[in-house]
Amino acid sequence: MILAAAVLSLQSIAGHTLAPPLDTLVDAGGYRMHVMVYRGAKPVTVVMEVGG
Amino acid sequence: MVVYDRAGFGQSDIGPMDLTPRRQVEQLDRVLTLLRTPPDRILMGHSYGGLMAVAHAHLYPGKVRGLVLVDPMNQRFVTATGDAVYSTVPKIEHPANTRDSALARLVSTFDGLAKDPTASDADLTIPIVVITAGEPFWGKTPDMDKPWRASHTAIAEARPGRRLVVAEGSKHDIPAKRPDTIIDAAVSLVEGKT
Repeated sequence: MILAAAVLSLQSIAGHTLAPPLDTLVDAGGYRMHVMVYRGAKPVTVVMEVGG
Repeated sequence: MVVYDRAGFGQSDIGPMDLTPRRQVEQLDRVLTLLRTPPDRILMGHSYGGLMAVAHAHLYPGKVRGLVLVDPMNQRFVTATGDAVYSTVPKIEHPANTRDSALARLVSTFDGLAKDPTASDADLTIPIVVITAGEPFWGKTPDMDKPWRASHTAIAEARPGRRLVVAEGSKHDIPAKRPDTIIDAAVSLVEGKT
């Protein structure tokens, strides 16, 4: 919910319509990592490192 | 924007039990590259994630534009509090599930990460916004809240191009209580400001 709000805000400043995220499992090097990617209009990647 | 589950949490596999924090940063870089995300990155790190974000900036200096550290665990605090901080982490001797195993691994590698040169913010010259909790939350004896806040202030004041934001009305859970402070900081870095 909170991250979604952040995504909405960042995409709104980028003037980009919210599209469904890419929700995928990627081989991180011997195991699968769950990743969600919200594509925006600006060529910047904002990455969230959550707490433990 | 990218959100992901660290190994063993959420929907990610746990991976090898000897997986180090540094290796996890390298694997995140690999995944971001595989997904062809722009190599101009802003890392936002909450709590333990602050150490990982700082390590990411050290390991990939050409790819990280700035950091948003949200009430971050950090090397200055660990140095200042010594063994006291270790008394606050959970002891999981018999993990009952994948998440517990991942948490036990995180705890067992915490000391190494906190003392690793890549966890130090001192040499980073990129813009950094530090968001600190406005309300005390450690509630421990000896007082941990003063060195906690002091460490965040010290990070923000260590170099130009950094600033401190106080998340008034929030304890440690700033993403839940004051997400606006995180969004504002990220937007400012996206726009090329601190």
